[in-house]
Amino acid sequence: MTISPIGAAGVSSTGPLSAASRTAPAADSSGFAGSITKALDELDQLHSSADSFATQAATGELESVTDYLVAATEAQLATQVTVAVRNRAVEAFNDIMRMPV
Amino acid sequence: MTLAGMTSLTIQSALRGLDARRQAHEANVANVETPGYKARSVEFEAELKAALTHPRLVTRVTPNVNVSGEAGRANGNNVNIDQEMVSLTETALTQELLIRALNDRYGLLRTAAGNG
Amino acid sequence: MSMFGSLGVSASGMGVYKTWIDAISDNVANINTVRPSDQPAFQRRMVVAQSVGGESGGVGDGARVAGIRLGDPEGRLRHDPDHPLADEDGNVRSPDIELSDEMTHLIVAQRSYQANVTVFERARDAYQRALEIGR
Repeated sequence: MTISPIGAAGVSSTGPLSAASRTAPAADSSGFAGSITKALDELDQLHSSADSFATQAATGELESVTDYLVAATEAQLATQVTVAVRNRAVEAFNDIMRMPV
Repeated sequence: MTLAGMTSLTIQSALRGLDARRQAHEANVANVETPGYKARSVEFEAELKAALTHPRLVTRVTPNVNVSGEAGRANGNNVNIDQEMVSLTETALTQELLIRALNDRYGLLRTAAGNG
Repeated sequence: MSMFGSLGVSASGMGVYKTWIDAISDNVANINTVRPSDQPAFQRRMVVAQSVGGESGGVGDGARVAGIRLGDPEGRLRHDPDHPLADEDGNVRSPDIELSDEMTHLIVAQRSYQANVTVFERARDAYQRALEIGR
């Protein structure tokens, strides 16, 4: 019996990936990471807004008290939501890490 | 947002100024019948606004006490009791607002640091 | 208007009505202040009130006393020969002040003053409730 040597037939080269398939991950603003970033930006905006109205109140420039109060309440609620999401994400991560492979 | 951030320092500086203002107007009310007494007032807002460029300037803002030069009644006293009532009430309300603002900031930090 | 502007506005009203009450009390205190007929009578004090601000279409800033107007110096010539200040005709000059009018004005001034106090207190309470938003 003749044993033919293993040839390269059928096995494609394991050379470098072609440029087409070597795409960098796109800045995907519609994905999960994108929406987290957007939410954090909005939260930052709310904090800045509340801070700015508080500073105006301190320098006597605030025209309407409700401007500050609404901004502060929105910042508080948004922070609570963001912290809750963060905590759930951390729990989920830990759950996954505990999974037996 | 930092613990001793600009906003907290500004609020604390304003509270010091408002405290001085409250004392000045309380003294005015106590002296409403004192012959020759001229009403006092306190200014700090303009100086505070100008100091917003640097935290150290903000902490250094000191309230100025002004003496009113207005002509008074027959005994030389120029304290207007209705105006004093306005000043005391406005000062108290503004202090409540700023204390609320300070508590709100601490509350946000606690929420962020807590477990939700 | 500033942050707690209503308070100053009500207080300005209180100031005007307090001055009015002062004027009325001066008039009533002098209702029998008699002078010799060759001098002007005690003149009735009248407060001229003026609104403050609000020209540019916004809400105004209250009221102030623009000045005190004095009433008729002629007064009334009364015949009272036994009075120490009477002239050779037995006349003295009394002020042109009606007690009933002054009392009516006093009631209006007092009610107006109290109304302004009520506005002040309600505005202060409203501001304090607003400070509870979001608590």
